Amino acid sequence: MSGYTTENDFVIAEGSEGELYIYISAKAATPSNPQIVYDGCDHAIFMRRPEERIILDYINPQVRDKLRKAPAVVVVETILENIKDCYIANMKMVDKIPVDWNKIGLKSWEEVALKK
Amino acid sequence: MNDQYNQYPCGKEAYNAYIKAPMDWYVSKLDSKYEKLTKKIPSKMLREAANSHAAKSLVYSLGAGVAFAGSAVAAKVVNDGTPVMGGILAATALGAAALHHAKNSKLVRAFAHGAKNMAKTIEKDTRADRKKMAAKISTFAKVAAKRLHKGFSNFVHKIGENNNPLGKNVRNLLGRLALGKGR
Repeated sequence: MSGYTTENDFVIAEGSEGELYIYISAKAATPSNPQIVYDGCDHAIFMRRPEERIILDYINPQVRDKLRKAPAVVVVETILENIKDCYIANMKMVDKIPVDWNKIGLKSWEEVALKK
Repeated sequence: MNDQYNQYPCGKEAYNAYIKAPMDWYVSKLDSKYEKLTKKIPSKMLREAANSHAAKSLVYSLGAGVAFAGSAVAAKVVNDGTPVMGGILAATALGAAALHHAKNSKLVRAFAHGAKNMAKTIEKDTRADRKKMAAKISTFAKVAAKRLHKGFSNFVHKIGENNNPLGKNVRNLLGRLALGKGR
């Protein structure tokens, strides 16, 4: 998929009030109207700018339900141990993201769990 | 603000680590690296995130309350033999429950189930005129549930918008109430 990048390594943290933080590596340019499109499954699409889409791959199964229910999350872009940018991204829930993840080499946590 | 955080590693690297050693690191307390970073997040943003979450939870709790009250009254009215009112109330309960059903809440899923059963009970009535009425109520219940669900979702979405001044006020107020801080 052209125009998409994959995050590969990121962390979602949950605060004591149930609010969610997503720590990703810093990106160039300033975000504009950031939002996350999610269907409650393995992968989400983070639309940082209208023309910049980042696949948040392999979302931890333990946090999926919380992410699905969250109205918004705080995205924290980091460089080493510093914050480059920090902003709120709205969650946009959809029934199904119309992407065949297998075609771009992404699997699911469940596949591994079921094989064991 | 309390600074207890859980950490959920994601991404391909986390997935590969999981394949090698399942469950070892699944959920943990926040790494010191991220803990330090979290302390650097502006407190206004932390507060806004917490408020936004609390407000939505409160709206859903109100939805659950409506569902509960609707189910209880519907059960009473159905027992008294007034299927029309029962059906309307069941529809209300079903609508509110549908909202939660979509959010996968076990409690409200149970309400939705209860409301459906009520509609079925009405349908089982052997008297022909009641049966006909029950079919209409059932259809109405389904349509009402869909509309209520859509309306509620839109409302929640509206108050969740950052640039909506009304939404901001409502969200802040609900957030403060949910956090028990009053006005």
